[in-house]
Amino acid sequence: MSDLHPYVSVEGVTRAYPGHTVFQDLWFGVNRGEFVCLVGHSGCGKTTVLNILAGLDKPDRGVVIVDGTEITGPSLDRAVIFQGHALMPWMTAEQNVAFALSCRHPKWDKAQLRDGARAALEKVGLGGAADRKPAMLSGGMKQRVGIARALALAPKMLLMDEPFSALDALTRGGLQDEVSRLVQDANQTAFMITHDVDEAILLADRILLMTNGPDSHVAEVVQNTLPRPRDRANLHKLPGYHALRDHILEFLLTRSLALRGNPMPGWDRRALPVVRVGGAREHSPPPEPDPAPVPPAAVAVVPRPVSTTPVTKPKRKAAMNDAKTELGHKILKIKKKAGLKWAEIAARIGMSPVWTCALCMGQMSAEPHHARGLAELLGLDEEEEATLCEMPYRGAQPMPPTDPLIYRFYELVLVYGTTWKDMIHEEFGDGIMSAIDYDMVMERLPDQKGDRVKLTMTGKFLSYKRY
Amino acid sequence: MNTQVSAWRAALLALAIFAAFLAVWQSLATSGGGSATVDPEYAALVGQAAATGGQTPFPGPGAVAARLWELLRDPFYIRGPNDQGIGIQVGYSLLRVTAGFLLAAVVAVPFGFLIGMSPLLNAALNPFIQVLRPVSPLAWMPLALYTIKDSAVSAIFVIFICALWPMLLNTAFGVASVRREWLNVARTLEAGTLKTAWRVILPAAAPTILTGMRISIGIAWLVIVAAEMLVGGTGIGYWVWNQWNNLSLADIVIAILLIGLVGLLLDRALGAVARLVAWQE
Repeated sequence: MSDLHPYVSVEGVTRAYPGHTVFQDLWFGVNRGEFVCLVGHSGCGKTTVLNILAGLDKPDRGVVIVDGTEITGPSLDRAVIFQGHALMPWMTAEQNVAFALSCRHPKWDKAQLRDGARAALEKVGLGGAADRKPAMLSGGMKQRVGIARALALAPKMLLMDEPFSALDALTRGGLQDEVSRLVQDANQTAFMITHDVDEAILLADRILLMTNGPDSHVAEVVQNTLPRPRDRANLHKLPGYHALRDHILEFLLTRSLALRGNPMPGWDRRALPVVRVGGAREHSPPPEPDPAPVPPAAVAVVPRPVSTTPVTKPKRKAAMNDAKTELGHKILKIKKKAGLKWAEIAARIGMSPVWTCALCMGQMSAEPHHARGLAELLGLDEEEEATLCEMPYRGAQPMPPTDPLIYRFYELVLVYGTTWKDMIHEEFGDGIMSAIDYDMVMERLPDQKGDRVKLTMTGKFLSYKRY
Repeated sequence: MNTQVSAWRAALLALAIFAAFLAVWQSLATSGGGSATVDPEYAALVGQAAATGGQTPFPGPGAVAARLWELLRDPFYIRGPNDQGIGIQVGYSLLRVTAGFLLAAVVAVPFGFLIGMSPLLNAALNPFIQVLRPVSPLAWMPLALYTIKDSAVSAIFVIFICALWPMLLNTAFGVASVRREWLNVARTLEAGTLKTAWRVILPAAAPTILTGMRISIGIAWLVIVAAEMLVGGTGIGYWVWNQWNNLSLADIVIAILLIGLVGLLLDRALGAVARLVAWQE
């Protein structure tokens, strides 16, 4: 992976509005035939990065060099797959692709355009739906047409702007596998932005991790050493997958916020630190011993409640309202009632489990495409669905210093399968809290180079009951 | 009120309402609402219309139907400049409306495109449009008559002016609100300005433009009657005015009916075109 002369080179790119810097002095490259994912939270400016690469947006400072030439605007050589499918609704699927082809090959006649469009649609398995207009296609089919349209151009580079985020979990999975295959077959250079960790791991050769905005920066580059071919069915069995996933999740949950405007010591924007997570752990045994899931060895959990007195009923109710948003409360209720796992609920909403949990805890607001799934899960009407997107979002406000640690805590609960029960088992036997005034302190143990984390729960247990 | 109503029940009710309307009309017409006594000398002076005093001149449905039959039996006769068949009159009006409307479309759609695509032009021209738009088209008539010096062309000009604004504004709005993502698709495909305008913006804005056209043709058909009353000569508006001077109210009732029917047909025709260009997400 020589970074000396990458195919695409982003050099010192800055995008800023008066009083608001999206990012500044951004440096990274994409090599020929490489698949690079940019991962970050909503609002970190990753769409802006993609728009600049596509030529739809212009940097305030800096340049993007593709194949030795500075880009000045959009080009057919850099095809974009948009987040919304962006198909023209008055054209059939075939006409949409043919329109793109007619731009690529202005001299083609109608028959050539039609054959070209048919062939492109066949490739994504939509030969039978060529004559349908987008309104007659499902969400996944529409996005397939969008993919066919981009690939039909035989671009030198494929740019993807969260192309699957508006789709339900099942459709998304199928399309991810398909894009993985198509890109591999064509040895296509690709750049994709996403906030789906598994998607990035499945598709990318390298994963750029971007901190939260404003004034975000690329904190590090994760080298994805998992062997190809990968598909979603075998992904989690690949050696190093869990370590890689944990590393990225940990970045998204904790470091993306902590590093905002505060890069790690020694971080050089022109020579981004390269991390090879998967390889390092490949030879060590898997971190989670079965059957009883416990926190991974790297994390020591030390619950130390200040007050352990179970409280009476009215106080418990108040604590409930305090600790969780109403939405989270509703979801938890459904979860308990139907005996669902977080992963199942998350799949229905179309979000990752950790984020679903964060959403329940009021740490995040729902995005419109998640609101749909949420509304279905909760049986809400349209008006209530709309309010989901305006749920209080604590991330938007300056966060109290402990909050990134709460993210970390969710991760312990969700990723490592640790339950509240496990965490306070020693103190309470079989008791489990239904609410907690979470006031925790989590600190990196100084003697372990930041690898070990000590979690101290200094909060009050407001209630607990026999489970 | 969203439940489906069966078509024949609605038709039955409509027929009943129509029958009731005819009955009320008939009774009012025959009850002799205006039993004015007419001075015989005055009657001799003003002639036969007023001489029938004591009887209301308002015709009943029967009289109107008889007159309608008379008119429709030979709608296209020409017996001198002041006596031409009703079909001829409607034809003249339609000709003027079509000419004025097409002229307006030729001007409004390209200009609307420019205004819609350029926020600068939009901001610069908006004050003019906003001032000129609420002006009654008939207010232009004296200016038109003075400068054009031809009453027939003036009538077309008035139609042009009144049909212009809805089309202009709707085109500009439709073009300005074309989805950013479609334009971005066109940009990443390096489609030229002309190709983008023709293949992306026009189809995207077509339903809005057609809505503007439908509003325009409705207004044009409203205005033509008044305009023809002013300029005279031919047309359904002139015919109405002429029959008023003849105090032939049956003819006026028939004219109202015809104007309504033709207006409906014009609207339906554009509605059909609108369905052709409509798209659904």
